[in-house]
Amino acid sequence: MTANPPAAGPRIELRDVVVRRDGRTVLTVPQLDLTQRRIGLVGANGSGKTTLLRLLNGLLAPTGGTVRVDGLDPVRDGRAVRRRVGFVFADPGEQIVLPVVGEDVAFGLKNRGIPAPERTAMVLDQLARLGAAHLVDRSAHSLSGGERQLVALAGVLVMNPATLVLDEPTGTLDLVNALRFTTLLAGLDLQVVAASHDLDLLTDFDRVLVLADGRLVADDEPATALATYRGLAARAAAGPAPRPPQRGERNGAAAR
Amino acid sequence: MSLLETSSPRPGPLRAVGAGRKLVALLAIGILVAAVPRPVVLAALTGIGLLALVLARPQRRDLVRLGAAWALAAAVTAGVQLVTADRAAALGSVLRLTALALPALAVMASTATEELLDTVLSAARPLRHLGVRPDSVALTAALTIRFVPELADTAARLRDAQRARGARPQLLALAVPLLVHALTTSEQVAQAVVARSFFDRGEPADGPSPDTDPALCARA
Amino acid sequence: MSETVRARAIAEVALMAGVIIVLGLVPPLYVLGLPVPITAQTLGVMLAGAVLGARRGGLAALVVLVLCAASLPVMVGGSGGVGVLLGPTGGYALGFVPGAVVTGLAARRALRLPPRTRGVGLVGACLLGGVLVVYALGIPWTAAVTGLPLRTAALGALVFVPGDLLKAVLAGMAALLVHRQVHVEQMRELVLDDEARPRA
Repeated sequence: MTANPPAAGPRIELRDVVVRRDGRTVLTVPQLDLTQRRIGLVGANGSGKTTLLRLLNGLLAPTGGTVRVDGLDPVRDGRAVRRRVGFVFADPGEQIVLPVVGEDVAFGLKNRGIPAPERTAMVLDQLARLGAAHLVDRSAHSLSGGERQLVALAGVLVMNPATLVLDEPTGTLDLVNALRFTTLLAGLDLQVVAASHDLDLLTDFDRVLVLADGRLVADDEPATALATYRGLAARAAAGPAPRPPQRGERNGAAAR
Repeated sequence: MSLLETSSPRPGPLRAVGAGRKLVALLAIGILVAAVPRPVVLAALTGIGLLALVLARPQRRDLVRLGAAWALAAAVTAGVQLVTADRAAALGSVLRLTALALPALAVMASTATEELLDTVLSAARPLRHLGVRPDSVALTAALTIRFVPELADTAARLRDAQRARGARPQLLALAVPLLVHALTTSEQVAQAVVARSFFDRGEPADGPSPDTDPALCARA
Repeated sequence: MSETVRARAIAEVALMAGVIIVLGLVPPLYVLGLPVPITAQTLGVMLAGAVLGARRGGLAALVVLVLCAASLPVMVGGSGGVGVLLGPTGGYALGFVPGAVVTGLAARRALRLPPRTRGVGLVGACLLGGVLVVYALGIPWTAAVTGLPLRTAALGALVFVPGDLLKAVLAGMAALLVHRQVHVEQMRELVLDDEARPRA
């Protein structure tokens, strides 16, 4: 496994990025460089947060423009980029793909060809670091919401990525677990890019981006950016209700 | 409700025999029962089955459960035979069912689920030449096992919601949301499988992936 | 990215297999005063074909059979094991696969019908695959295993037919509703509003 690169993290660049879906433009990013250690993303549902995140590990290809992670194209050089970028999905349950915790955390390692004894050691080590070593033999189904989040995170961290991308990491958690998770995240020595509604999570970040209607409307240190976001949200709350999701949109496509 | 909570096989002489061999033997017995159902053959197979069962030392729980299934089938079949044919036919039918049930129980009792699963999945290996990767087969089976309890929970919640509305549980009102849920879940699971490097197997060096085609890229 | 396409295939098959299994766990219902309760598992098989198409639907059914062979409790009522597959009702179980495949092939054609007749077409697809094919395999299998003459086995199966006809109707309707709500790529031949939807 490659060692952790220096703390600044890989250079993630977006240039002239446009994402269109079903004839609508859902995201426009003329220029964005992500180099800071803790970068947050806020915005209403449907503002393009998840779309932006999924450009970063090649799950989504831009309709136009370029995305580069350390100079690599996440679509063309998917393997190399996925080595650098780990992705934690909004619903951890859907990210845990194997029935037993230990084997699920080892899933990525197995895919990389790491032999079994080494895998076991790495899995136990990673779970222990998250305070979840006792979960190793549990069935995925039996886990609580907070435990699922930890296991999903373990499965990604055990791969030693340089950047961790998280989509609403505390979305399924109660307050206690959300606070625990925030502390956990703060202690990780890698670049973090997190989309979140959880304003507590983002207050200690280096930089927060605000998205609205697929466009970046603010890019600031947390306090300012969050104030902007609150202003936008207040105005939106006072206005008419948003349009209902289109028929035929699957969960992944529809606004959450 | 975890699918994998099955009893471990008891130690015994049959334990050591490979799962593949046992399954093939079972298949052979099945073919024999269907093709050559003469009383001599059936009696011999029943004897073998009994011996196998004794060697397998099944747990009482399994014995009871499978015994009940066998008894039901035997009773129904014998009953039908007695009505439509004669006693000899009824006896023949019961013997056939027994000749099948005994070795089947012996195999199940003496073979670990994981071993059976591995064996059956490895039977898919030849499909490699048709472009079906054995790893994909194994992952599909594992995903199914993983999500059955979740889907069961969803189904239960849907039923409860129906009852809470005062409606009697309707199959249609259960099936449609369950399916929609299964499909949307499958979309997210697919993303997770890709993100967790499942398709990066077998590539030691970092470099361009040979099978990316921007035109086919994920839309959702 | 063909990786996502392949992953989607794996995930769809697995989740649909899960649906077939879970529907087998739903307690049997007595319907229309029939003496025999109807179970929902073959409903799952029909839906697998009608919703995912012949290939993925058939694979989903195959996964269920594979897990059954591995002694997992995936068949109706939580039974499993090779004994189920080799036993008197084994043919019905093995019929899941061709049943789903035929349902899928017919369903794909049915979805090309004008909106008003699509539902009927889907029901027809489910009847073809979920009833006709399954019984065509199940009845001879029962006869072969139990020694009952073919005709007796067929008459015995008759008692389940009304329930299965009802299931086919339900499956057809359910499949139509599902296709209206979710985009299933391989079945997509202008299902939704018959407007061409531009690709992203």
